[in-house]
Amino acid sequence: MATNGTILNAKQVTKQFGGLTAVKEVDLAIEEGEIRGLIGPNGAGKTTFFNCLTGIYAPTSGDITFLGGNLLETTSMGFRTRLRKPHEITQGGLGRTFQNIRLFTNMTALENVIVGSDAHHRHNIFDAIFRTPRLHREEAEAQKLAERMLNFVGILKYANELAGNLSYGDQRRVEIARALATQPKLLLLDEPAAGMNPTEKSGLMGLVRKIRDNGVTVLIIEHDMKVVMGVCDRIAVLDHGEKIADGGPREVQRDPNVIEAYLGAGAVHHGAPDTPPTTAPTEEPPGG
Amino acid sequence: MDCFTDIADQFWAQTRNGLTLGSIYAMIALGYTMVYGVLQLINFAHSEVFMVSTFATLYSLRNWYGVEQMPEGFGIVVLMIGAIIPAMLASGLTALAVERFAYRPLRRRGAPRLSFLISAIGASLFIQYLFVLMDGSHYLGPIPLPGIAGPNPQTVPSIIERSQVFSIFGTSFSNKHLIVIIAAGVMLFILDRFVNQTKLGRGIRAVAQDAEAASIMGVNIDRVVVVTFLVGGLMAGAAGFFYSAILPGAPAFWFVGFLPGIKAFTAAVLGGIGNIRGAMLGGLLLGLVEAYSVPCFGSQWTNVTAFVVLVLVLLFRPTGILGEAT
Amino acid sequence: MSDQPPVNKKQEPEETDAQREGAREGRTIAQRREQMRKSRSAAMGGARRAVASTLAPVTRWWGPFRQKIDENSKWSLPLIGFVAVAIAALLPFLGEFIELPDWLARATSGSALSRVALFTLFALGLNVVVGFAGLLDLGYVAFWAIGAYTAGILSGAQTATRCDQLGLGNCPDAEWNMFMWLIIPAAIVTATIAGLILGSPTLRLRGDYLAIVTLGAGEIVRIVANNLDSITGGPRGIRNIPHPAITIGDFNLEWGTLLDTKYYWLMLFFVVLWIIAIRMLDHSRIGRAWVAIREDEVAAAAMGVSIVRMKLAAFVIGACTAGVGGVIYAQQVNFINPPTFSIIQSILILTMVVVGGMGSIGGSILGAAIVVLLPEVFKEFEDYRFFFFGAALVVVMIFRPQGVLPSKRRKAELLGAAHDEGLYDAQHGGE
Repeated sequence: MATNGTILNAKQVTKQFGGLTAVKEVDLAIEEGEIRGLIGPNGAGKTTFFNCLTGIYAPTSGDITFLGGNLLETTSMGFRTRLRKPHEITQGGLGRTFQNIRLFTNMTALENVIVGSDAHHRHNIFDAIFRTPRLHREEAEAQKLAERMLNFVGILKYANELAGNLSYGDQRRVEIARALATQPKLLLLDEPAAGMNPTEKSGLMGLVRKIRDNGVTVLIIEHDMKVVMGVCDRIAVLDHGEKIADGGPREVQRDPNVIEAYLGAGAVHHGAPDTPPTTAPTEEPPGG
Repeated sequence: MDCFTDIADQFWAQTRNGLTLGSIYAMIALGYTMVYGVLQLINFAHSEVFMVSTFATLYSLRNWYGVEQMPEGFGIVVLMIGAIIPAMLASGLTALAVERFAYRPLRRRGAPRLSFLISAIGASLFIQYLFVLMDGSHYLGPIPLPGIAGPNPQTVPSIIERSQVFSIFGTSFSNKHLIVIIAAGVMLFILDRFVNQTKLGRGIRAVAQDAEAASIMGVNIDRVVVVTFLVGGLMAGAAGFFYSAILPGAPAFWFVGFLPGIKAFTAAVLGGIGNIRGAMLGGLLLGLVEAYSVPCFGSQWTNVTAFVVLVLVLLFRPTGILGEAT
Repeated sequence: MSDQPPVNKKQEPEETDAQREGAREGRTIAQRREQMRKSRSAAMGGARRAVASTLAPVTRWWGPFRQKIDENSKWSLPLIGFVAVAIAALLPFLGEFIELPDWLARATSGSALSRVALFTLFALGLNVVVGFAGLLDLGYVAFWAIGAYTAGILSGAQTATRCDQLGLGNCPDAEWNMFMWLIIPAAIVTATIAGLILGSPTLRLRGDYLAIVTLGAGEIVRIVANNLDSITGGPRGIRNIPHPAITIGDFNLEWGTLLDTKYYWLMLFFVVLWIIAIRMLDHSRIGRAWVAIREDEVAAAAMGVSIVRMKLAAFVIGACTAGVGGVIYAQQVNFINPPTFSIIQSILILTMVVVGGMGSIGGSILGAAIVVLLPEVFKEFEDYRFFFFGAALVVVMIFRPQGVLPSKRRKAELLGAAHDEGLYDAQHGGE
């Protein structure tokens, strides 16, 4: 896949919570069309960094450009700069899923995805009440887009099931479809393979490749090494908030810093390239 | 500006008024802040918990002790104790009843916060109008309701004759003012000791910080909640006694809890919701702000002042002055 | 038929004595608690079964009926709506056809029905705020007041009243002219402005705080109305607000005094309009956004939903609804003053929404009917009504939070475990 340039460039991003530095001067560049991985042992700061990208946390310092513009700040009233809110970041082309699947459980799968498609709809109260052409057009589009997305992830048949009733793996897919419906240029997947069995995992890997092949750049946080090594073009490794490695899967696997971070200093000598610890839940620093 | 000279003119008088009324707010605020600390919930019905004690005070003074005239000397102290105890008990029991019937069933179910709020409003309404109906001519099923309340305000006998204790720059500070201010201080002190130095108090603080961890450590959450409501109720009961029997002009009235309730809540937020010392600080501060606004805007706008304070605090410093720690 | 050996269970690590003891104690406490819960829910279940069995014939018919409606909703709903409106409009004439017992006569009198319609409108509005967007607004009466005072002032009645108050001679009463129908859109404007002013700073606040702030705001509006004599007539209010009329050429339709049944039909007209408008909103991104916000605000924001804007939209819609109701109210009762717009009204309207069914249009209508008509029907117990409604709020929240006529979605949300910060879990900021 031809890479046409950097679409996201995070420079020296730092996030502190009181005395605790969760993320320290992390640089991360994402090229268009690649599948980027972000890994690291528990507590390394991956989710915190992730949340800095999506506007849930404001970085203490550092800046992030996305598609050529400042990701985090926006000008209000022409001169004041303020932090961009999560919904604005999403509307700007950055979509995401959540580590513990946050679907709207009392809506059907289709309705969930339609909410995603609403990110780019503009009809207002007036349009809604008086059923203007704009409303009809956007509603028809929403329906079609949602169905296309559900089909893309392979669960169109569950479109009218309540999201809460679906199996875990299917819920994951709905979540991905929903994020795709926001028409992102960059899709952030937060531990998408968590809780999946091997079949589901390889299905997921195929889906991620399919997403990339359809023009969406992907950033994955993941614990499962098979998934990461199997699907990512480039991988960044965090440990204790700092980036300790960045490169292709082979490089990263062999990097002594990475091995040490996962297995301790002793393991470096014995060279155990891909035996990561089990997927334990990440610790969240307080605050937020 | 006219305002500043007006305030300067009345400075000591308004300071005195502010501290006195603020002490009442502080005592009521303690109840709000403690329940919030433990349950992250605003007990809407707390204003009625306060209201109940004004009637308990009225009833004990008028019907038990037959106070029409103010007693002398030591008799006053005895009378005060005799009246404040039923007031505190009445409020404490009301608080317990509210917890038991309006909140606990929802807690058991893990209901969303909206449910608690609505239930609290219902409880508040229920108690208010229960007292409206207690005018001697209404029934609860077959049981006649006692005629101690009713729709009209009733003056509570004032049990202390106002006499000046000292004066600063021409403003007289009377025994009434001092009693209220000192009483609030004593309450706060006792409560502070209770929360920090007893087992129950530690339990309360543990639940306030992390309920799940506390319950794993063996803390009985239900008991902590009950104690919290009870203590908050007792405090409000004392406030009700001082409000109606000591301060001049405040009646026993079914709606009397509404405004002090909102203001006490504002005070709790101002000082840092969940923070006991904050409640005290917030109460006094709010009382002062209200008092100083009187020479500026006139006394018909004091309620607006309190509300403006609330909005400003919530917008700009929602954690309050002292923050959220217990 | 050989016995298959049981699957080898994985070896558990050795337990210490202390662990066993603790586990046993934990189990017995847990068991006891489970037992108590079971017996309590058994008792509740018994009661529920008893009620369910008596209502069985009705419920057996309702399910399939409801399904048929849903399947053909394109024409079934408008048909039902039309029939319902027709019945409602003809209710005041019930007494002409059959002999009505006292209580029914009272309940279907023009004045009672117009009050039901007025409060239905209010309930519909508050339902959007509380039921759809999940915002607890306890100061709703403020918007009612704003609509009423807009009518009072723009109709010229305020000038006339003030003129009287100041003792200036020759104060002409305000007279109706057709332009006064424009007061309704004017009230929509003032209510919108008020809604934006009140909502913008406060809607970011969490539920409890929002409730108290709106409570205070409702009171503030009343205090302001009471204190600004020159604009609002102060404590004495505004008198002689003209009754509406339609005069086009020779055609003249006048609304008379308070008891005129024509107010009922006027209100009914607006109620129908509002119901249609609200259903239209449901089927748009705004309605979906409200559901998403109720379910999971963080996820909704991550999907591009502007939380603040959607909440503000709900708030403003609620405000406009109350504003319009306020205009017609003012023109009907002819005289408004601050004590009318007290907090108890906000709470009553909330009761209607909650008891009737949060988030359901039918629920709001039913709730308004119950709260307005029950004291009419049981006139001897009228004094007890607030006491009763307070208890009703508590009871409904505990036993049937979805209300009498729930919307399916709301029912699932309210009965299930909380999606928002439950009582013991304050942090979800990380996700």
